[in-house]
Amino acid sequence: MTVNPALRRSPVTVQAASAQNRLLTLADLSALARWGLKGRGVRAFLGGIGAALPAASNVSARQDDGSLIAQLSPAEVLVLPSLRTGQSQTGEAIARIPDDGAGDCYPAPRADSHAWFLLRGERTPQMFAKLCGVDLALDQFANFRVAQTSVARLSAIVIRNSIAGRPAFSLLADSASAQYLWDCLLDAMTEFAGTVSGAGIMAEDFDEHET
Amino acid sequence: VTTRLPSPFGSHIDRAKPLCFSFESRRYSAFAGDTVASALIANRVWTFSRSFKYHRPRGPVSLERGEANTLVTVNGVPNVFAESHLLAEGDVVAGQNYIGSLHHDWLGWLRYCGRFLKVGFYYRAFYRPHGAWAFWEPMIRQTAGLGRINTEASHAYYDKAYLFTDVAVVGGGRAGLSAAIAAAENNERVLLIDDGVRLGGSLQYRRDAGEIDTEIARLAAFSTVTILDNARCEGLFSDGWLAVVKGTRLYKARAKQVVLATGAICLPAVFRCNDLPGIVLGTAAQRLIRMYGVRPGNRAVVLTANDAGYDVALDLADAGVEVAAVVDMRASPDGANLLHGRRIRVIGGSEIFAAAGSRHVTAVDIVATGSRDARERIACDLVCISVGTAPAIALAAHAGAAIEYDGANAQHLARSLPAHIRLAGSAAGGAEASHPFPIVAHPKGKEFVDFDEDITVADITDSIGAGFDDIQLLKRYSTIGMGPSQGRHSNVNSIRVAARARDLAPEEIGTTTFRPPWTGESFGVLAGRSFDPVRRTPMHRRHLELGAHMMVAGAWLRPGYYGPPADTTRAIAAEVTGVRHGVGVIDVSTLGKIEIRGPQAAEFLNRLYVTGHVKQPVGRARYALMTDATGTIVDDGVIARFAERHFFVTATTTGVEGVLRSMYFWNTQWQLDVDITNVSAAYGALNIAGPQSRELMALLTSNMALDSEAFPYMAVRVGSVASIPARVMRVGFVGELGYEVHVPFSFGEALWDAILQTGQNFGVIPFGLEAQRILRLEKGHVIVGQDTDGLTHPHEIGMSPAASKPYFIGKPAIAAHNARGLQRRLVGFRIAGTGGDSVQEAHLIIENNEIAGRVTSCAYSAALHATVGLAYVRPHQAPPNTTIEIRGNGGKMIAAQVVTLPFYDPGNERQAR
Repeated sequence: MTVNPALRRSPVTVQAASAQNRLLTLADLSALARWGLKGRGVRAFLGGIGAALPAASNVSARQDDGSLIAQLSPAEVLVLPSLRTGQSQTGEAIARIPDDGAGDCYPAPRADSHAWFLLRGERTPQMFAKLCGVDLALDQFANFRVAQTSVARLSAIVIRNSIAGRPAFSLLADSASAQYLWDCLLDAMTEFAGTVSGAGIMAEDFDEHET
Repeated sequence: VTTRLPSPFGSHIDRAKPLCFSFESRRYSAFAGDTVASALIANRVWTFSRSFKYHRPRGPVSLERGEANTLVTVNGVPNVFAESHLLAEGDVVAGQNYIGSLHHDWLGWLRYCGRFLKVGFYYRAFYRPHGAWAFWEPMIRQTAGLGRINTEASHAYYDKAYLFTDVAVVGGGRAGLSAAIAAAENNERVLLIDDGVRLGGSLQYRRDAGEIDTEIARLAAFSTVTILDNARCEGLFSDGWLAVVKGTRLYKARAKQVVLATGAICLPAVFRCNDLPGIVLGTAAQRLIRMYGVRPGNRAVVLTANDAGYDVALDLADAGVEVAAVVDMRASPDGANLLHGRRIRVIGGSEIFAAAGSRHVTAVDIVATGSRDARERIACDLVCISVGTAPAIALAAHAGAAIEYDGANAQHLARSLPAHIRLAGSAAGGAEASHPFPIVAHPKGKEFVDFDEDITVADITDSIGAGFDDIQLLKRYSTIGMGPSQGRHSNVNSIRVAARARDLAPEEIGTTTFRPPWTGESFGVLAGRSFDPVRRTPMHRRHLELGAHMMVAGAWLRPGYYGPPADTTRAIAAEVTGVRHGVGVIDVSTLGKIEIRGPQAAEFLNRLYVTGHVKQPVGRARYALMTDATGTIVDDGVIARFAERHFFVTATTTGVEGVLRSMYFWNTQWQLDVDITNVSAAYGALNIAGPQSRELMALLTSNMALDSEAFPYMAVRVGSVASIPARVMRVGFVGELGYEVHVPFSFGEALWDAILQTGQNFGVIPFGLEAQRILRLEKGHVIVGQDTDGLTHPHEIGMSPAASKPYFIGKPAIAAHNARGLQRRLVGFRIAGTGGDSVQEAHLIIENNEIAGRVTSCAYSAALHATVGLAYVRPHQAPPNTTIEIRGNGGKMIAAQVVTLPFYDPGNERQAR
């Protein structure tokens, strides 16, 4: 069924959005789509629709349409849409799978189970070091790597995906705890003079073909 | 009279930036870069505090962080090390541990009571006669403790951060710098941790230390090097985990390799009145001179057992201090050579027998080593000690190194370090020679081994005489090494005294355990920034707008009721009435939600739950009860079947994590072809309940038939509600016609808005957890965890598993319970009249003066005009109409009648209509 997108609400209250900050900017992308797929048939399904598969678990792969497939385990992927279009051909294919699954593939409602924040800027790894025990330094955590870890004591998925040569990290975590996590991020960003940006501004100079 | 020395003395102070501060309400001047300690001494103030037990005046000994003598209160913050706090304009500093004033301490008379306050006196006194402790305790508490916590202080911001590195180097002296540079040249990421405001360690104050700035600059040029100065490594744990405190932040550093270049700790000598202000370590005098440009005294005596003492003497002479004598404990020192021809008197083969003075040292008595006769008294206002060092090996010990006494060098050394840890420089031993026994016992005592706790030589020998001869027992009985410095200056000397008292070698004594923190942490660091996730439902903002009183349920926040706290009872009653007579809506998003999908989904659930699910029709829901392998009830919920191989399971708010763990655990063994997905946060959920709920739902749906035939009780449907994709279940917890609507989390708020807006014509009311608890109690529904406990099995709450079901987890255990016979039974009870006001949950059921059970739920029911509840009773009390006795508030016995459940709508007509 077609649903009025205006009925969809972000789990966080963004008080004030401002311009991007080269050093550290946070945006709430929770209103964008994202898809999950689980089951033994995941890789076969993705291969069948021509998706570029990540090489291993905890790695993501950029697709031709700008979307991103993050492999969370041999039997689970998370698909993020292109920031420019909000679309993903892979995601659309997943959306056509019925709730009870098909071919050993089961859709997972990641657009609702996980809030999605994007952090961008050179100081992002330092900010993360206040919240997360994984070393996300740029020379240690390569582009497109995925960490399934704890951020501010919350189970989270961190994906590094550069934007226009600037480090960027997608952070996905429990949508019910989204406001808590948002507040933790704002607190941690303070010493780096981080700013909050609108999702659209963040996407403006997004280079979907960057590797 | 100024004590400041001209440049180049005073490398750490900026003479162009004078500042003022106060100490004990008197104003003093200082320079930027001064510490409290250096500034006070520059102003000829040597007494910083009073000692813990005898209230003796105390001043700095080492000018290294970590001695109780220098704990002061700065701007209301107690127990600040005076040698560590960099002064700022207007700082207000006060001494500690006195009554009256620092110079006229009313408890100063305690210094004359040593013979009555021997070690362990508090173990033998104060407890007799019976009740004496109540008399003594207030007095002891008044005098004990260090500093006063300012309970009015504002909160400070303390936080934590991780650091990651290849090589962590602790200590920024010569060895640490060399190690850091070597690692950096090897393309390693390096973290250098140093507790000074500048790198260099002892090179900053030692005589002829050589140039260090070039190396510092070289190190800083590496982009892969991070320097944390003015930071303290307080602990070193497994896997290269270092706890580092810098300011108000705790760094949790992870290093693949650790180099401990922590240097060595200079040790004091022990002689009578060695605690007098003005008696310091030689390195303390050198710090004052070179770092702060302070001339520490006018006439000095240097006590030494190594060559370093002569450097101290030369530094003192250079600073204009008259060096009355260098007293060398060695038999034949080469004084003339070591003093480079300076005209300073050297007394070889001698030691200090005692110091004289009241508030400050005024003289020392010198004797030939081992002799107690032919003393020579030398007047002085400064005594500098250089009798040896102890490698700073606490961090190595934290990491598991073995600590052994090296008799040849009279030092404790760290051996058998973990492979990723290395020692460098003085921390590995080999600093200046240590005297094996720089201790001179005095017939009148007062030779302090431990300044923190006022422990003397006699205290140690007395403890051993009392049988506490093992070093661990000795520590605990005497409290030596248990003060703020954690034995930094007392451990080695106490071991030496104990060894001599027991006629053993120090290596046979062993050591106490080195525990973090190394130098001490503030409560702020320990308690600072922590993370406690809070979960909010998608309707949270709306609940707050409606004035909900939020309650905590696990990590979730849920509305308890809507309305001001002052009107709680009325608000809850109104919500109950609204549901019973109209329609209400409750946010049940916190329910656990799990998708079970796959060809063997039905079999999987059938094994997990007491209830049967293999034959559950598609489009139907069933109540589901879960037990563990012991037959104990662990959770309940509803299982809806949306397709042949698709089930949607709800679990209790706080039980879902356990349910998931159980699912994963068992299917690891069963290997059934199912997918288990936790979707608890993916769906928001509301329960619309009340006689008018069907009418309200009809206005919200267009693609779902709602009449009782098309959508009967316990049926489930997929459709849309308020134009939002929804899963709808005709289930309820409150005993009224109801619909549980699950929608994607992001649409939860929109659904709430639509229901409240559309429901205005019906007077729809939001209701909270409190009203729901009453409504479900009227219906006799149990809450797992409240009406069940860690032993409850299904028969005890009247739920008998189907005998025909061949297997489910807990079935064998439940069969064993049944074979043993019921020991208790959960029943409903009713209390007529006002007696119910005295009954609360957890009150006891009493029979023949014995505990026969307990109340698990209890509330006044307006619908039933009585107090009703659930209680465990003995099986013979379970039949309806049995009278039970409840011990209510104040021990009042209340009679209650056992009744058949449910209390409300026993025919289930309202819920199933």
